[in-house]
Amino acid sequence: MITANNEKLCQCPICLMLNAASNVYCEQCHAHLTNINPKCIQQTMSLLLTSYLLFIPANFLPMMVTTVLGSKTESTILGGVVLLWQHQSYLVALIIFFASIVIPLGKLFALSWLCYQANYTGFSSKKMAYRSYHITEFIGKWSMVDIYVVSILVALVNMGEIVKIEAGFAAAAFTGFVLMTMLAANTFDPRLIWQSKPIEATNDSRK
Amino acid sequence: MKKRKIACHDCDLLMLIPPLKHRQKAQCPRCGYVLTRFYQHSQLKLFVSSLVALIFLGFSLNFPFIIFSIHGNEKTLTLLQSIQNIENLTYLLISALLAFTAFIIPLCFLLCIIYISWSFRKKRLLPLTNLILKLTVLLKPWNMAEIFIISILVSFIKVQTMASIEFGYALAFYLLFIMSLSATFIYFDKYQLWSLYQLKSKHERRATE
Repeated sequence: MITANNEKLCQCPICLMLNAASNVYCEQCHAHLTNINPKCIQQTMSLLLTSYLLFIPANFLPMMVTTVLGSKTESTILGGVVLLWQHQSYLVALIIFFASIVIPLGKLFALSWLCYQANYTGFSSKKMAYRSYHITEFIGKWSMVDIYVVSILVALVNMGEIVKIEAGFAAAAFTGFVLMTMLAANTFDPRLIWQSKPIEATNDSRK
Repeated sequence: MKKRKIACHDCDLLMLIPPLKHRQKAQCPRCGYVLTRFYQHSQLKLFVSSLVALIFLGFSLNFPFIIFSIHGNEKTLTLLQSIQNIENLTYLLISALLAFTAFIIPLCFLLCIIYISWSFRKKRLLPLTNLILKLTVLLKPWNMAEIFIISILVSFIKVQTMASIEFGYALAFYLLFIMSLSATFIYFDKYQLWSLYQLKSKHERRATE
């Protein structure tokens, strides 16, 4: 396989110009060039760890605090889904359930699995690994739905004593979580999947 | 345009891309990554769709977006108001995120595209074209305006049980804005844009020599 790396070339990710591999900045657009470097897995893993930690408060603390005529009700993400299901709006319940629980979790697991394979076992099926990476990158931003909903509701339902919706701390945690997972997906270099040689991402001892 | 050498963004395979015809796309044979799509008059289409999107965005900012009424109290909300509620740190983070991903980044993206198209249509490239083209490519993945429209529908259904809600004109404009923004995404192709930039700057260099 003739890859840019074998030809001692490095392509600028932004303007697609082929530079010599020794260049640090692109000749055309002066963007920072990155050669295929297994060390980027470490970055991805640290961002993933942060998102795992943020996922806990995002799911167990209240997302929305609704005050109707003085009585407060707090609802978590999952609680909101259950409430919607009970109100018979099944479609919206499913959208929220998928966007804020299934997709983020699937994304986290997929990325962790990719990192694990890149680190220890090597990729058993390159096609499969690449496809999961591609899907992860594509659906990443759809987990923003719940945060947007909270933000809209807070602005909309603000009638002083009668009814008021406030955002809980989970909203902030979830925002951080989504940002972290998006950054993690960005830092993971898909070119690593297609390497013919096994890669040693975090092992410094075996050189 | 002659054949140009390019490496796949996702798997680093080197290949030559021949000149493409209308509606053809070039795909990486190894990983299937779509390298480029070609449309006839894509520069003009890009310019027009981004201009239309910008106009619709401008319209949707001024009109009422949602009208919310409960027990005789009525409240109208415009798009800008929905991001202006900064009461504490949690809100600050969320509204900053919302403001950036649903308004500021799409707005900058569209303005950048208009500037680039204008620059390409002139004989000489306008200053900073390089930098602005770079910025456009960087901003593209952070556009999340289409998610905003889904969240409006979701929040509509969530509040429905609590109070009565009506939609204002702005929602229609925002929908049109999303449609033209998607059209802009279809015609936005970094390979084509940078090839054009290379061609233009080469001509310019030759002219000065």
